[in-house]
Amino acid sequence: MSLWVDKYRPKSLDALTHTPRLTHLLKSLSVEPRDLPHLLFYGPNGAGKKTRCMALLQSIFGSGVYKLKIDVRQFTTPSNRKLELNVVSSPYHLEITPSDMGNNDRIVIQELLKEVAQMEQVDFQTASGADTGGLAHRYKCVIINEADSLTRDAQAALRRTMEKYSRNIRFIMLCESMSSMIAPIKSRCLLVRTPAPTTQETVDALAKVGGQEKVTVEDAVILGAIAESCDGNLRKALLTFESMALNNEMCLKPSTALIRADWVVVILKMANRILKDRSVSSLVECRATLYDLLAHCIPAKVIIQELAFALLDAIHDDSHKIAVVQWASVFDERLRLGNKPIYHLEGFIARVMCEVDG
Amino acid sequence: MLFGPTEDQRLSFVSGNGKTVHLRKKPAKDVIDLNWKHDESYGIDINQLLQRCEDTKNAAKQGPVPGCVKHSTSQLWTEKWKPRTFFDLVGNEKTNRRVLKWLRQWSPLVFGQELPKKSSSVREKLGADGAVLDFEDPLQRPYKKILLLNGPPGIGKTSVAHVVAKQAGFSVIEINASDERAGPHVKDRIHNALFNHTFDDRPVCLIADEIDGSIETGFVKVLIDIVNSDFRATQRLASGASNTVQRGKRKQRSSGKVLTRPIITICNNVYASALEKLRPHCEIITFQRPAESALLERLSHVCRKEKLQLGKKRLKELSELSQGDLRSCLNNMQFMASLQAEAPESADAVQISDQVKDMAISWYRICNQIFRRNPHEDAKVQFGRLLRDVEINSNYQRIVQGCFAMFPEVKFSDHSLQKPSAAADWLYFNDLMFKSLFEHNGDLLRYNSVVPMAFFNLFSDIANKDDVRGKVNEFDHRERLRNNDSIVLATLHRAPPILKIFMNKSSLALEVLPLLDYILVPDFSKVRNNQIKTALLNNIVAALSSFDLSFSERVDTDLPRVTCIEPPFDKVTLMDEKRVKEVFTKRPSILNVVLAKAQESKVRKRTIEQAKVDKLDLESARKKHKTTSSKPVDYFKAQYANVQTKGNETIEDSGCVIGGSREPVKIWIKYKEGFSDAVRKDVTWNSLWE
Repeated sequence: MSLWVDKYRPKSLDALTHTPRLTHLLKSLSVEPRDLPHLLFYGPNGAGKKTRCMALLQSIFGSGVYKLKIDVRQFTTPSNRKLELNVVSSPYHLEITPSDMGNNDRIVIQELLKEVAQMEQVDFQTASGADTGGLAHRYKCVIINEADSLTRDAQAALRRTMEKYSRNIRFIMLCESMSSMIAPIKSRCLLVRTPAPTTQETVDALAKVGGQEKVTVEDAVILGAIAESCDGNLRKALLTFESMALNNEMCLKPSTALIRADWVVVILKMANRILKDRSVSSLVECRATLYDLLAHCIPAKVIIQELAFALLDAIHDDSHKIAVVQWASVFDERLRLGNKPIYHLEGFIARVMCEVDG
Repeated sequence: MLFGPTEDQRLSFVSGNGKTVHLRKKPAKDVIDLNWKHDESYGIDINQLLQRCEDTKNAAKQGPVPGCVKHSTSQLWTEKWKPRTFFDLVGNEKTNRRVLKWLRQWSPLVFGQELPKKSSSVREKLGADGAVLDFEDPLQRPYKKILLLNGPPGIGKTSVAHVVAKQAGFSVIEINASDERAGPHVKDRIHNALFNHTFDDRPVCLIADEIDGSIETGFVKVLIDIVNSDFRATQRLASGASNTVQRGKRKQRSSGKVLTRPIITICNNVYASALEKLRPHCEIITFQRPAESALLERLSHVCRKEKLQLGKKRLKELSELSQGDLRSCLNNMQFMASLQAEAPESADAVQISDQVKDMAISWYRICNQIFRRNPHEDAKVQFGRLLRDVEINSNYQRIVQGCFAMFPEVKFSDHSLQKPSAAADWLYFNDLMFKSLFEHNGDLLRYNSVVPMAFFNLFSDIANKDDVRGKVNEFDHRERLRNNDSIVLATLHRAPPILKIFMNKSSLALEVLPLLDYILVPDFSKVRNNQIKTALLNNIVAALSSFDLSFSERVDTDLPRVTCIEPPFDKVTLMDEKRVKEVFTKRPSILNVVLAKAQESKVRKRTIEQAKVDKLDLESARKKHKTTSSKPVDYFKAQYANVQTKGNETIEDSGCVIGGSREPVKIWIKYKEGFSDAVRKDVTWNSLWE
């Protein structure tokens, strides 16, 4: 009972679909679970980092890893403020997301992880095996989501814990890009790059789901179009596929219109407006749209990225394309350094209008 | 009778029968007067007044310019002309009375205990009123124990608090920002002030001034702790009071937590983040700027007293400039008075406009001035004046924001948006600088006015004459963002953990929710094929249940009530106007069908489960018959055999017939599912037996 993207999510290593080389690597890791290194999965959004991570845990601990519960833990900062944090955990692992804790992630890392790390997990099942001759130690896995948003302090707090308690604890970190991870952490982990599926792999995955859900696909061209539009984000592809199937009587023709999220459509429209009408009044309308987008929880960096790509698609002059890319990168930097996204987004639009005017 | 001279001043005479009678001198009359004078109940001492009149007359004769001496040596006028009694107070009398009323509500408790005889009949009456109003409070105190006065600076909040406290018979202890107010220090001080007795027989009223600073959280926390502990103590008291009042009182004394003294807090900004927690505990009274007439009256009164010749018009100008800030009016007047004293003839020539320049102009007016250019004046002069205005206002962020909001609205000559893009660079500079302002100990502070001036250079034009107003409100935008953000979070929290681990907030907002929106409301009114229709509906219901979404009725519009999904994530996802409209036109009918389907599936699920359970029961019953000689039964048999050998009374009647053994036995079995007793479910005999 759930969305297709969750319904057909592979739960074991054998069921993983794309990038067979990576699957092979993970299988070899799961053969000797005692030697599992700290892992750092990195790769784009929707490429299946978390799915692979859970599948690996499943192959080591069994399906108990999917029996999840949510605990509310309390922490006290040095300034005596109380923090509450939801920790998702199974009997074998627990998960933390640093962005939930804001600037206090160092405290959480220190307190929570030490607490976990100092508790020795005893494995009674393998202890009965004659070869070990006694109770065997087992580690607990800690998954750190969005590890790239860990502050430097937190990462520094992590590096010693990783070594000192490596007997009891294993880290699996997930992040989109490794650039913000400090080198000591990288050197302590086995880096696992999780690439996005290729278009063909996406199409295969969609076709498989479509077959099981009895969606009539007249031509694989439409699946290709979905895969293209989703840029290797399998989650987005599956969601698009489901929404298109449901909106078109479970029957996809090559001519079926692609469904895009509203905000993407809005950005596309805005790009066209920028190129068509380059004036202050147009700028004012763009500003209203930008405010609207920001208010709908679309991060500024996503807006500038989508807008730049939409502009690139719509512009035909090569010199203008170069200018757009150049200014997009300049304003992207400004966005990251500054605090006021609206200034920079609008500045980007004004610049692009200038450039196109020549 | 003969009067004879005697020693000293005593008079004596010899009476007829030869006795000497000494007469004592009558005490002088003015001595009695002296006693009289000190008794204030007789009102104003006329002698003293006369004396004072005389003195002032003499003084006037002596010094031709008394003002000069006075102004240079005496204290600040703001101190000097501070209101001393309730009737001196300028400003909204209603608010003043509200403060007084709140304070009076304490009287039954405070004066009832401390000075029972002093409480006048008026007070008693008031106290009775308070008791009627606050019947919950056993000590007849006001419902909210802290008074929070707020309002713009200089309109007399502190003065009102002091005067009213004195008027109500309290002695004031003030803690303001100049005192150490961090954590334990202040805690001791407050506790001393509130819970101890003073040598002064007047009860204490605590006035905490200027509590909206950012560093005051420690102080505010102490206040909240006091209120909370008071609340607990009061409840204990209230419950105890029903039994015996006497015991209740003792409890109160032993715990020492019941707040028995009023606390008045004063701030400029009630919405300061430091006060967020305190606000619900406070009776909040907002001070408005005093009416102009009242202000003028007071000002002219001061003028008269200080012998300052200022015309009505000047006074009016003064009060307008300060926007009701009485304190700054007084400061300005003192300044003018000293000028007058030095060179009386030029005093009137002092242009008030000189002072205008040192007055803050609102950011909005400055923003509008930035876009104007006077063709008859040198640009440099305008630039200089504007720069001064901006720096005096010093609310740079607001000014820059205002400029940003307004510049597309004004007229300016430009070649294809060069100016807006140049402005973007300046805004970037501003953004960066503002971020680092707090890092470098304010070194960059003096570059703050650069960006507004850049706007002046870029956009100022002769054609701009009317005030403009930016279209988009930053505040509204933030509010909307916060609402949507919380909707996304709520949706995320509803998802079961197994789904939650595979997504985060941004992927939910960017990918899942917008597409989920399409998934949930497909238009299936045209679908003919029934099979496909059920498949569609099944998928929708599956999607709904995976996020644990429910339905509710939207009421926030003037349109008739329509069905919508709860939490209303469509507010986050929908941006296209056409689709937003659909929420009210097309969607409700679709959702109603889905709702029916969802309920149906729920019912069906239940019945299926029921059927499954029944089936299981049946099967297990059948199995049981087959496995008569299985191991567990043997085990139990052996147990019962043991029991029987003991020859007890266990064998009485058949509770249940077990397996092959036909003996009637009573068996008690404890069964726990899981490790918690909280989980209870019906356990059939058979499920134990398998």
